[in-house]
Amino acid sequence: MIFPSLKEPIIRRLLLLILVFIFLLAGLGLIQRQMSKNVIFLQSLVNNESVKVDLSYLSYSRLLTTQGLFQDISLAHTERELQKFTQQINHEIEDLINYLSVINKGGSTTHTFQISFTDKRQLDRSFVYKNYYPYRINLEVLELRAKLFELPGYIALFWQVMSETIQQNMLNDDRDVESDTAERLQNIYKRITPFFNRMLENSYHIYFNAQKDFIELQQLRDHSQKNAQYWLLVFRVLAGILILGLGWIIIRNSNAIILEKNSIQNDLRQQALSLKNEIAQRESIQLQLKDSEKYYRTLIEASHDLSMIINQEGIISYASSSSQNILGYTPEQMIGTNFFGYFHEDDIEKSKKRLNNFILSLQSEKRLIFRTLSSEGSYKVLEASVKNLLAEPTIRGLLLYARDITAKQAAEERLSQLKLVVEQNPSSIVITDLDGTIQYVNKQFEKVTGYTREEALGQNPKILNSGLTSPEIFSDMWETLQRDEIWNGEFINRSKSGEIYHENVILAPLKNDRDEVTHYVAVKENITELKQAREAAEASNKAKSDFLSRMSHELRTPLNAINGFSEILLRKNKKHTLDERQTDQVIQINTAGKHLLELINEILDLSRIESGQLTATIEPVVVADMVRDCIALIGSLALETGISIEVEKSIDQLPAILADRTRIKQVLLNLLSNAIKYNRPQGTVSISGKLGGNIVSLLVKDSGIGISEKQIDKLFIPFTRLGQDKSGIEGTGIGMTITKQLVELMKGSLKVESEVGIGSTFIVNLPLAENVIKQKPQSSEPSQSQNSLSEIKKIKGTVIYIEDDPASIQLMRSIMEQWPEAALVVRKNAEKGVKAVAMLQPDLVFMDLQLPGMSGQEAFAELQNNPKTKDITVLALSADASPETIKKHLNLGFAEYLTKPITTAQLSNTLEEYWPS
Amino acid sequence: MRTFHYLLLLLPLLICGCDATEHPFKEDTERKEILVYCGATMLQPVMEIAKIVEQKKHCSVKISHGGSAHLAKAIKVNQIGEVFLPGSASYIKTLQDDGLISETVEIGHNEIALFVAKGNPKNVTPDLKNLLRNDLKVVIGADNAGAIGRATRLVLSKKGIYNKVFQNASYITTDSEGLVHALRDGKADVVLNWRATLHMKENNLYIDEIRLEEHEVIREKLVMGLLTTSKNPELGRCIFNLATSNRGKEIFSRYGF
Repeated sequence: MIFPSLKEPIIRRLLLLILVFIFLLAGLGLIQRQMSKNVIFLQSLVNNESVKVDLSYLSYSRLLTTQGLFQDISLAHTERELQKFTQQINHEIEDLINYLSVINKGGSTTHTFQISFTDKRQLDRSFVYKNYYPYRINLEVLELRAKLFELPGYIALFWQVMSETIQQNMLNDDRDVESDTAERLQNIYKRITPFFNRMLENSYHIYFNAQKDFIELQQLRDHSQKNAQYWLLVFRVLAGILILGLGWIIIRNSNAIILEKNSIQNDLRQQALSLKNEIAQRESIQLQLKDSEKYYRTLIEASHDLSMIINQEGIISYASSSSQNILGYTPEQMIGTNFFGYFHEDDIEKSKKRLNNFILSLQSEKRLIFRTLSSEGSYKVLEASVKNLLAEPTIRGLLLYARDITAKQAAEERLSQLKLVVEQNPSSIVITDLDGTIQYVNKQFEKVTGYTREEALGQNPKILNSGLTSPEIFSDMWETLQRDEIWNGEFINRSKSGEIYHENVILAPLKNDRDEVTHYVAVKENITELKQAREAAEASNKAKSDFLSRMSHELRTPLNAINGFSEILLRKNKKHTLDERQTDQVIQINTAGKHLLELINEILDLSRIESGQLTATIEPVVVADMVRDCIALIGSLALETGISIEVEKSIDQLPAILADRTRIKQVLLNLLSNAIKYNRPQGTVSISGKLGGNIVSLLVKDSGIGISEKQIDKLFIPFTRLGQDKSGIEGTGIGMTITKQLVELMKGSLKVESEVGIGSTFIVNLPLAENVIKQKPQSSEPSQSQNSLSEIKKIKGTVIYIEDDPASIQLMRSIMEQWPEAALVVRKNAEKGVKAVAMLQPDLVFMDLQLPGMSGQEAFAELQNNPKTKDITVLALSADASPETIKKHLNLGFAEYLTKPITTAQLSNTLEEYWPS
Repeated sequence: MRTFHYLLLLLPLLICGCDATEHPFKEDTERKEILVYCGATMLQPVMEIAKIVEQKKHCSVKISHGGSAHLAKAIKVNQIGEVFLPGSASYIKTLQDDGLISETVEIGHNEIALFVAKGNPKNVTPDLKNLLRNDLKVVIGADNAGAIGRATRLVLSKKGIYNKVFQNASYITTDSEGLVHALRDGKADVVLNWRATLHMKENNLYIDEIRLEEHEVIREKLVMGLLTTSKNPELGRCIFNLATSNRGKEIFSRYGF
């Protein structure tokens, strides 16, 4: 029986040591968890801030929409339209105020947008933003919000002007009313422009500040992530050292126990032999007991836990010195007081009751948790183990061991919050080991994939593989991960139910303190809806292009008849078969048709430029050649209007430029055409050039009325004709817009210098070609390519025209009447046409492309495959004027591609060029 | 050795006591904030006063500046802020009628004048009719945005030429700062603006003032108002008191008020 009493102190010491080590390890673990929790919290802040960035960008874009709507109001023709625009503006303002409220105070809002131009379905995107400091003053938001409240005042101004105008227009058709309205609207625009500028500035600042906070939080998160990794390393190293140390201490003390036990057994044997030795032994035991008591007391005093003895009423008879650390009171202050007096008032009755029940139940030990008031005035949570020692004669009381768990409890609460953040994260989160075995998934993963956590754990993510993701993506992913880098990409996965979905995945290796990758973590976003929306938008864009192409085709076919027949009527009128009024009407038809054709061409060009479909083939272009070609084409217009064109010698000295051969001609022709049209009677147009550094400048100068400085800014706005729409000069108002965009497409710039009353100079700056081509001065002989109607070549032979449109056939017949010796054979479908060509062996074939049954392209292929017809010249004649179609058919082998409407002059030139000699 | 153990045991507890979910920008927001609405012309002296108050009271003073009409509207809409100093006392009167101003004090006055580029290269004379010249680029303030626009309308309407000048103007701007920029950036040859703008940001190196005939001059009182919307009235009063003190008067007079 003596042995246990000796063994006990060593075992307790060991147990205490183990407890200390466990506590230390737990503490280090807590630090590491704390750091990880901080990283996750910062990530949530980054996500939160990204919502603010998106929301502020959306506000900026909606503000631009609102500005556009204010422009639209002036286009209203009826009160109904006015009301429609006003409602739209009010709706925009309401949404903007809502967005600003969320940015300023936090909360949630939803943005509804249409999937695409053609798909009218609507999608909702919700924004949830938490403002952690909503009482901070956000100047930009306050200013912008106030200005939004001022907008209805401007709407009222527009209402007043437009409703008066609409009413007056209904009563009479007075042009003065329009002029007055324009002036009043211009005044309102003058007032509203600086106002909108300030609003856009405010909105941009909100967006800029949101971006700034977002980047700052991202940097903080990255920094915190590094710290967390460092602490993980510290935790693991210390844990290893502590475990080794503890093992060493246990082994050392085990030896001591065995040695002590042997020694006592020897003593017992000797005790039986000698009474004297027994007395000595008793004295020795008493001494050891004293030491033991001292040891226990020291142990209790040294403990962080509060040890205390109280009676049944709660009066304290003993308190260890740790009471000062925990509660701030010395043992002397506490002894004799009632322990319940330190309790939180809500816990007193409850704890008293539980203690009484414990005493009555005759249990030996009870665990209690209660709040106590420290000397500093703060409450601390204590966890106490109570032992019933009322029957123990030396104590006769209740023994309490209490521990301060305030921090632990708070940490547990924070830990549970952290768990919730990961668990309830809107992104799927998956953690795998290096073999790809899933070790953790969150709730969103379960929701997206349909696999429960229990099903997913231990599996490989391949369970989601749909087989639709390209193997190259997986190869790239593994290569990136093997380089210890973060991989970002998209997977096409399959859920448990078999549903296919798209995911955007950020996959990152997790490293330990030795910089070894131990796990992979994947954060995944389901982007199926986003992808569908993107595809719908692309389809919409294609539909728009198809629509424009079809529109062009459908309009050109009737224009072919309008322009062609009106030209023929005018040509035949040399014999004065029409009276003066009829002649004037036919001229009007012809002019309107040409204007419409020009408008269609320019709208198509503008549409292609804006959609990025128009590409430039940049190559060295000899300036002088290009200028002469343009002069030849524009010469007749200059002659008609009596304007003289001068080409200065500097043009011949210019080196080659880098440009698209066709587009630079289009630019120069447009500038020359404008210079002639808007010139004064008997005026001049001069073309000159100069070289400055690596830039070649082409100058087109006219002697027209000039453009004021204020008007120059409006020159490049589509459909703005600077008042020329009332001058009677033909024009669409798009030409200068296209010209500028074409020059910029060729990496050049277009500038305007003008003086009212003297004239304007348009300067085209383009880069110099690297391999400078020295030009030979060329003669300024007029171009031979144009053929005037008075010099029609006499032709004799057969022409086959394959066409199904009766008006086009009639037009061709009328044009061909000029060559009485040439027979025109018409076939209304491709099958009959091919047979006729094989049988009649004509000199030329004109082929429409869109024919009933076999298409023109198929018919051409058949002619090419027939040795009898393969050498016959076939020219395409179609209303489809898209450059892609023209290029495609010329590549197929058509000798020429003519677009409807075709003029007599064009046909004459074509016949001369392609008629077999 | 035992002490070392205690320290080791305490260390994790101390670190775990730190809050891992504390917002990193918390420090930036611990100071009290107040909001001062200030007409564009008075921005610089008000900034100087704000800086003194920030140092004295360990607070943050935010200044919303621009056209006074916009500022007055912002006060009505947002119902927040401590002090309002517009370019014209009329805006104070409007807010007083709405019960948004509790106390006022006169700070100085603004005086209207013509301004041209340094050296007067376009030979502008002290006659408002210069604003009708076709060979000059004219920029004026919007009458519904700020005090200078309102005063411009007043002075030109008295002469019966406001509508003509409005038509001749290249563009309209919201406040005196916009007018100064128009002149300095070469977008305007002549503008009508407050005389005090000559003291702003070394403007006197780039622009010249052409004083109007005495009968054409308009002088606007500068009045500062204490707002009833204040959440920190004691700090608002601090700005108010400093602006009316000798030190405040010295600051305002240095900027031409």
